[in-house]
Amino acid sequence: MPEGWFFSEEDIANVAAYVRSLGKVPSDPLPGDPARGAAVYGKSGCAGCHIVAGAGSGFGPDLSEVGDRRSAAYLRRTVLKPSASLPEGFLFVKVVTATGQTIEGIRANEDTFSIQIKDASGRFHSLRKQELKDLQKLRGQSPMPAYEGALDAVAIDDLVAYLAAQRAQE
Amino acid sequence: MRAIFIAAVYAVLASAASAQVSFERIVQADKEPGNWLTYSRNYQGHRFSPLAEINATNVGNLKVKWAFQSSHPSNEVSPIVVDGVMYVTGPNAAAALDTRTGRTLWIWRRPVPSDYHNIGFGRVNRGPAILDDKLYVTTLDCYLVALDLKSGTQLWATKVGDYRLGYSMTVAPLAIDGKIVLGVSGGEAGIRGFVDAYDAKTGKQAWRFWTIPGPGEPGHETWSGESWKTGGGSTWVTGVYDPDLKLVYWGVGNPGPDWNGDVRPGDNLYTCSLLALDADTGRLRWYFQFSPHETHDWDAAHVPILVDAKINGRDRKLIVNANRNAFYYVLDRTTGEFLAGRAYAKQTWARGLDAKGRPMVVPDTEPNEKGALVYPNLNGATVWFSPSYSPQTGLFYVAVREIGSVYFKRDAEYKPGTFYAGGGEDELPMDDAWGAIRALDPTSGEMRWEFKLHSPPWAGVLSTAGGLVFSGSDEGNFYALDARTGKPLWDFQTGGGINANPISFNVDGHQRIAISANEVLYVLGL
Repeated sequence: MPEGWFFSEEDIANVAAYVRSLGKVPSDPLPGDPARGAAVYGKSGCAGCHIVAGAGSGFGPDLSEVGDRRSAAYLRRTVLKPSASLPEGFLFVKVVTATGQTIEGIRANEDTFSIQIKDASGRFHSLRKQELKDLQKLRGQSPMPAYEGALDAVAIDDLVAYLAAQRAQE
Repeated sequence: MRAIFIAAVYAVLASAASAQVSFERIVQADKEPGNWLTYSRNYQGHRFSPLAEINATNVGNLKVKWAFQSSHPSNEVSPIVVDGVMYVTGPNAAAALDTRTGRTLWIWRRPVPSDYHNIGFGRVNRGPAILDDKLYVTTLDCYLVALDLKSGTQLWATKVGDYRLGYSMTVAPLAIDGKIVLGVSGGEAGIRGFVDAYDAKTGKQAWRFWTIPGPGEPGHETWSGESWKTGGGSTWVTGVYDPDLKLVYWGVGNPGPDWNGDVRPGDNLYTCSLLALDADTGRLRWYFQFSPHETHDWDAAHVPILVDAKINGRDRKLIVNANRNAFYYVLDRTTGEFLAGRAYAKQTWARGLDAKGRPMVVPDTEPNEKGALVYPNLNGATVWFSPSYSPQTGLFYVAVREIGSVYFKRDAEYKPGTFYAGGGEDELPMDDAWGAIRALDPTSGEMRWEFKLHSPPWAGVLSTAGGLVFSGSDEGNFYALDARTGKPLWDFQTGGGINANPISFNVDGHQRIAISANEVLYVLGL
């Protein structure tokens, strides 16, 4: 898709209004049961990395309104194989510091001279790139485990139904 | 005692503000290393400061001395500094600042008309020009305005083009002997471009050179039918001047519509060319076209650089240019003769340059309906931000963008004052893109060193006699490199993307570096 940098401010406002009028991702009829899915979410350790409705840990993306942003098909793909549908700009990195410490985590930010990494405990590391012994950008990798094979088909359906039901309160 | 001190300071400012900046002072810019009198500091376009207080040993101690909040997002200003006063601009705005403190001495604003549209570029301004007792500013609604240096009072405003047809100005004008030379934006709006000169005292037009020849003029045959009337050829980046040859050198933008060349078969002169114009008359002395029949939006709107060097054992007056199309060119600036050229960044559209410098184009690299992947992207391997030449190291420095794009062709219908482009691009993802500062041999374009950047940059380069090169990143890093090796020596996170050119000057005999980062202008020193 060509970029829209050439739009006038009026055009941008009009296009934005039109896109907004298209509404959010509509609810698909889903085979799973959201209530049972909540239990799957709890048992599978998802809250160790994600926040839903104010509860959980903020290592991974917030899932509180994920049903508005992502279709059920996308959610299913991600649950089964997270590395297949990484969010735009998402990068998992592994560095070795000058003192030999290895740090793995999600890139929070980066510029020419520095990189900021959030590790699994949620701690931020601010590092000078020049001082690192190694910096690996693990493109296409995700710290999230793949649930394909780890959960049965019913549990996956239920989990997807639960996630798809996470929508903004009207 | 305090009253006496304050009076003394105001006396300094008052005498500074009444200084006369004659044409001769600008010609002899190197005699005033503490000032920055014209866009690129000298007429040769070098963006080199002879100041050497800040050097490789002490640059690590560089600190912010003051900051000025301009309220102009993505400000592209390259200030002028004369005798203790800094002159800055924004879109339809200018200000005089005390170089010791950054406090404003005066501010001038001109309303942007409510029906003004910027078509294909941001609402920015790249800086003022100064001559004698006046400051010259271009406006988005396409006026050249002369301001009184002492007060910021508007002395006159001359209409240069009709903004309702897409003509606009973001360019820093070039003040030469009694004239103000400028160019226009609007290459995505189907304008017919020109380079203009105005009488510096009165604002009356001295000459105009149309960048697209009219019927009966040489070069008109490179257009088809009525296409010349809407053929683009904007002139939106400040040129340079040779006071001995009395030639103004100015780059010309892309033909229109940008990505659909079907309506304009032919070379489309003088788009994507460098012009050598007689400073007195505006007559064309020579031209060199970098990208004939261009279809990727690779304007040749650059600051070219004048260098004198030996080529094959013979002293030559050269003009050199790292072009948006990813090739570096060396020309004789007296005749326009092509002497050397080579790619300085990744490009996939040409097999190289022939003996006359014309690109040998790879088939199927024009935009099409399905999309054609080509390097570089539409912003080019470099774009409007300035390169630098250091007479100390003998190297040419350029900020390089390494990014490709999928180019699309669409139908284009000309409607006055609207976008006339015929397509567009889809950039490759940013994680596949990067940037660099490259040091090139100015006579060949061969790379001497490279400093890699996280993403494609939008900032120009300053070199200094302290053996340093300064530039900025799109993530807000302002940094210094060793001019001989490219080794990073110092960096500072400004907090805003840098879309501007650095300058250097003195305050009370001590060196300062200035850079605009988003809305904030920083001034740094030891």
